[in-house]
Amino acid sequence: MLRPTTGDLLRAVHLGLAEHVLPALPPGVAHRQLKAALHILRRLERSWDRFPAYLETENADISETLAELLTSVQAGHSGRYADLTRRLAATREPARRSSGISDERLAHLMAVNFALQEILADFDRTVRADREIGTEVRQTAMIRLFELYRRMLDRAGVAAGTNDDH
Amino acid sequence: MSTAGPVACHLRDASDDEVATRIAALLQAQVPGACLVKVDRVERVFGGNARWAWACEVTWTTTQGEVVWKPMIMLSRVEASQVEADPAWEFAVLRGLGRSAVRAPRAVALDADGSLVGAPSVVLERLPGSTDAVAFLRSADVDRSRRLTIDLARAAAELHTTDWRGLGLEGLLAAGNVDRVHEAQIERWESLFLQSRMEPYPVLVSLFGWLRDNIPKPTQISIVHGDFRPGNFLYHEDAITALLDWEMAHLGDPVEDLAWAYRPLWSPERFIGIDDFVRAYEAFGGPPVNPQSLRFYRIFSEVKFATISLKAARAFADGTTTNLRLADRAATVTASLTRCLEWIASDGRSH
Repeated sequence: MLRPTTGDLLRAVHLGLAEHVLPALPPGVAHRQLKAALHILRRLERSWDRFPAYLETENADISETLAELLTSVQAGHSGRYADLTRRLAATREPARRSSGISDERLAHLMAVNFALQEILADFDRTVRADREIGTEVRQTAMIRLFELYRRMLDRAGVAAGTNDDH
Repeated sequence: MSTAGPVACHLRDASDDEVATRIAALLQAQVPGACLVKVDRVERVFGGNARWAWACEVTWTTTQGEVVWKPMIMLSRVEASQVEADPAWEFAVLRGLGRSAVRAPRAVALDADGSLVGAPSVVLERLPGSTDAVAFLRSADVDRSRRLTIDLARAAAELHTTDWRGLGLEGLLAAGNVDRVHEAQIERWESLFLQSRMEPYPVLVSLFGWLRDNIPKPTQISIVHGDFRPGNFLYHEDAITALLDWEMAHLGDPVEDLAWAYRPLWSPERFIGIDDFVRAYEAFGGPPVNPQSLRFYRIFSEVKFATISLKAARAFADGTTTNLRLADRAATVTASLTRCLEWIASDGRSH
């Protein structure tokens, strides 16, 4: 069963509410609530199918970039980053599962993403505070992190359907 | 018209007549020498996402027999929102500002625990004017909006040059050491971020690190409104009549307010660019503004807005609010963080 898609249904619900219910509501709380709901429906309509592919790309990019970054900072300095390296290797089979997700593959992708986000945040904090690695190594790492963040935000905006809003 | 009576239900479920009864009870208890308090023309008005608001007209008789009439507004914390604030704290701040030239409404009464009104509330004098940010920002009368924006710069300069020590506001507005109140702001918002986030958000973690590493020394420490923007001031004809919503006021770097006023979502850039706004502010006596500080606080503003958005989304997810305007606020975070990275990159430094 392919049709109607989730997007088709969201579009139809949006249209029905916007054309028949919104004009019938007087100004006030109910009117504002419906307008907010319609805004959310529009965003979901244009983004509902992007999430799994977004997570696949996101996870691969974070994982690959982190692996390279960990290698670069450990070249002349071991120990501090060993735990992060171990945790990165363990993200293939994350311990936690995302609640409320019935699809196994999507739940796995979300759990991996959560674990990668945690490692990335810890890596950023660690590098920022690390005064034992050389300035050049730290600056190079921060530039790579910055580039990764830009890619992540670009992808997140497309995946959430918010890039057109701003 | 109503007079004093007991609280029977939560304010959220109260009729306008019941609200009038409760406001009357509060004023009767707290306005010195007020007798025969009557509250009329109660009307629920949209008070933003943070609080519910009721406009009303109040009359009372003084002990000398004089009849006093005043328009007032009651602001009540009915449900959770993006920013939690203690009404007793805001009431004390407004009482302090009432002794200054700052354009702030006079605080009249406080129900700190909601026992009289049904929710924690403050009653303020209602001043003339509109708060309509959309009407202001989309106005076809560009000349008038420009005059209003310049008056906003003057109102900011008045606020930022106010002698907060002389008003006795140091204890209320500074959480700790006055010399590091600007640093305390970063800690405050980072703490709220950590409490509110539903996933790690490494980009935001990194931006808080960047803020700590790059914070400029303030030219001076001032009273900072904390939510200085269209929607939070009253305007009437060509003048700003009052700055409203003081829940986020604190001591800090005054540049913070200027940067917040020019966030893209509500910026008056269409009427006057930020550089001209800053020049007007300085001409009105505001402290000198360093361009690097302005850039820093534009980044800080986006981080703060992103944190408020995550708090809002968390409140909806936790079921402490049913306000659908807050439900999808996490989706706005990406745009805020993208702006931060662009501003950081514009200086050629990524860390």
